[in-house]
Amino acid sequence: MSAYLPEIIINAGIFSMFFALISTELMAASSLLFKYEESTKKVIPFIIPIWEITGTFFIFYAVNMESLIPSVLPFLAYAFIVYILIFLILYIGRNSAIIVAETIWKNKLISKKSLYRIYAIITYIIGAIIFVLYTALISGKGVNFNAQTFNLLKFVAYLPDDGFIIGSAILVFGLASVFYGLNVNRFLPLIVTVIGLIIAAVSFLKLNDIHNLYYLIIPVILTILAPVLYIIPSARKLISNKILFQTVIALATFFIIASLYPNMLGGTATITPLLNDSAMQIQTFYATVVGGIMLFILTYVFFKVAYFKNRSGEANLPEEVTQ
Amino acid sequence: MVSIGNFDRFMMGFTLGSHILIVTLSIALSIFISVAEFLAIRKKDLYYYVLSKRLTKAFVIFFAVGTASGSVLAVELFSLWPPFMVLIGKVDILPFYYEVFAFLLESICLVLYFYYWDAFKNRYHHWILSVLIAIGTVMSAVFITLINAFMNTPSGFNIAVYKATGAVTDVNPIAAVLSPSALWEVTHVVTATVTAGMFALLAYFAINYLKSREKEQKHVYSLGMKLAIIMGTISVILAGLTGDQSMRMIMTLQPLKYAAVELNYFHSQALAPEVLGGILINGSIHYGISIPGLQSMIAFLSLNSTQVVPGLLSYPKSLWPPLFVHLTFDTMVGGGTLMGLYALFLSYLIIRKKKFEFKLYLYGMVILGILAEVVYDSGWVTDEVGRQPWIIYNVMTVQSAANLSPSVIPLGVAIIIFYLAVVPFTFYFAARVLKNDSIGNELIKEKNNTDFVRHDIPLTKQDRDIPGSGGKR
Repeated sequence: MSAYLPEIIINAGIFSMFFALISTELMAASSLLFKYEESTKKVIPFIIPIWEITGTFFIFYAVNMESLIPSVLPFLAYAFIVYILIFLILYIGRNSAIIVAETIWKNKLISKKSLYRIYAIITYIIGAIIFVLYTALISGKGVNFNAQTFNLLKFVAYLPDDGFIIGSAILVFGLASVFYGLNVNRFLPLIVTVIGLIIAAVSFLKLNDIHNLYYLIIPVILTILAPVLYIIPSARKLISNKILFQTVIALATFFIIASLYPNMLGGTATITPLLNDSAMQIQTFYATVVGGIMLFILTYVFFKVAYFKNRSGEANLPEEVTQ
Repeated sequence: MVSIGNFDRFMMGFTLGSHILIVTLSIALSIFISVAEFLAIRKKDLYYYVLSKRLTKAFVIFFAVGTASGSVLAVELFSLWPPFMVLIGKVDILPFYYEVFAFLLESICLVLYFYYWDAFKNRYHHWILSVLIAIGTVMSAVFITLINAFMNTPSGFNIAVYKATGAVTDVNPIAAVLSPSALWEVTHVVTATVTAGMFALLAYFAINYLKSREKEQKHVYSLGMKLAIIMGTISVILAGLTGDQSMRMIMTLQPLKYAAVELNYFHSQALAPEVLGGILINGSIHYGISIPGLQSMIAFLSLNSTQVVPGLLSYPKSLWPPLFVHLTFDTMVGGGTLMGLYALFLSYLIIRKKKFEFKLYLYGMVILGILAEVVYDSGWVTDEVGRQPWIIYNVMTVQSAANLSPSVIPLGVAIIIFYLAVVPFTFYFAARVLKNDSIGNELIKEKNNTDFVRHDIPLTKQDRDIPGSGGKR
């Protein structure tokens, strides 16, 4: 078993935090599309203060990758350039749509509802692109590392690739009702989540040579626990705590990454020989420790102001934002 | 036909140019809002309070789009210039890494500052957030400029070995961060950015002052003008001083770039003339004004120095950057000087407690705001084009670093078109949001706010002409 290097743990930690944030946006997207009226009270007040932070964590993760494995950048740039550029266009579209939705005045051309739905659709597509890229790096299907190419058809033709993405989408859809406390049949989130989990988990096992299989027990338990607690009225309050829920998502993601390490591309390659020079790793480690302490303090202040002063965990938003 | 390498260059330049338009305003706004809120709390002044609150709405819009365009640049760097980012990743990734934390500081504090505006009973606690936002915003600019300084004067690895073999050895990440040009480049870029943003804000206030009919509106905009003038004047003076030092540094560390921006069509020369304007045609300079000895005098601060300034003819022509950088340099220096003089004049008016009632002054402020952007962009073009054909000076050429995948072109065109729509829309939208929520409405909303009061508004000339006017609301 390969030892877990500090820089790998840091990278996995950053990705887990990023994924915890983007997944709450993906859950918000399904609510905005299918239950808009309810979302104006339960979803929008939550996502408005955090969508900027999601973007910041995305950059954090991208830069950490650049420092961790710079020699892989040409491969990523050539193999995935089409998807990266589409992602960039959508990313600007996402930010523009939500900031305009927040501040737009009443007019005949476009409503807040339409803008939030545009944001939701774009978020879905962005989520799909992220899933495709990461699934491709895990399974290696359609990827030719030496030729620096990626063939989408070959990727799609491999069923576990599709199963992992579709299963994850169903899972996110199921958890959305729990996370945002939407008015649905209380058993429905559990049923949908379990279906999504089975499809995603079975597919995941076929994607790669899972190095530490027993690690997957943790995300499986955590994922099922959330909708189960949601069924029990006395435990519902516990799981509707958004800080706890996001921590659960981050932990689950971290252990999924840990189960794969150090394998990538369907077990045909490992990440360790690609890591950056040690002098740079030491400096980025110091920077992460100092920056991490600052981030911890900021997060504490954020939760203190956003959650403990206002127990609902929602922003004191100007009226025009949610109307 | 445009090569893919040149397309990459154009796309990068275009997206970066669009991004800095937004960023100059974001940086200036972060400082401006913090100062305005401090004055509001200190003086218990409702007008400063409304000013800071209004501008925060615009700041959030610019931040949202600026974040997106900044993210685009971060991803473009490795997708359009993979070999460049491999070298940066191995030698000089630290400033990017530091920048992320500055960015996190800015974004988390901004979320708290804007969305939880009323959650702070002690207003100084709220104000501290604005200081942290300003620190985060300015430090982001500092760290990104450190990368540019490395591109101009690379250090922190064995360059000779890299050029001979392509191997990256003897990496010293801290030496790469603190490259020889870092100090003066960072100080010049930051002060110039604040200048451009402050004068753009000044133009905005001036236009709205001209349009305003209500006394309280005019008062709020005149407060904005005063703050923008004071901070703009300080920063333009600092930008001039640091720019002067930057040129001396370039003369030593990037002599060919210096020769190009000064249009020195000679080998090297003592008592060199300063050429204002001018184009090099068939080996001679046309349409320029040559002032004997002035360049050497400015460079060495001496009337008869025997030291020489570098000239273009000492270098192979294939390594010359495009010589239009001389014109962009002259635009930057000439325009910057004009800006500085007008800013000093406006500051003089403030010291003498004169009002900005004379319309010519206000139109001048609008022109100043436009000129500031032209000057700022000219400076940026001078720096970037002046380094050509290198992406990292004397180490890696732009062409050798470019992503030559044909897929770049159609999607790159789509991104450019998208930017052409999004950037003007952002400015329009921010202005419209502020226009929709008038100052009068905001003052009414704050009528129950006991922390701040409506101080007496000083009399304007028009007020004095109206019998019985007390100058109060």
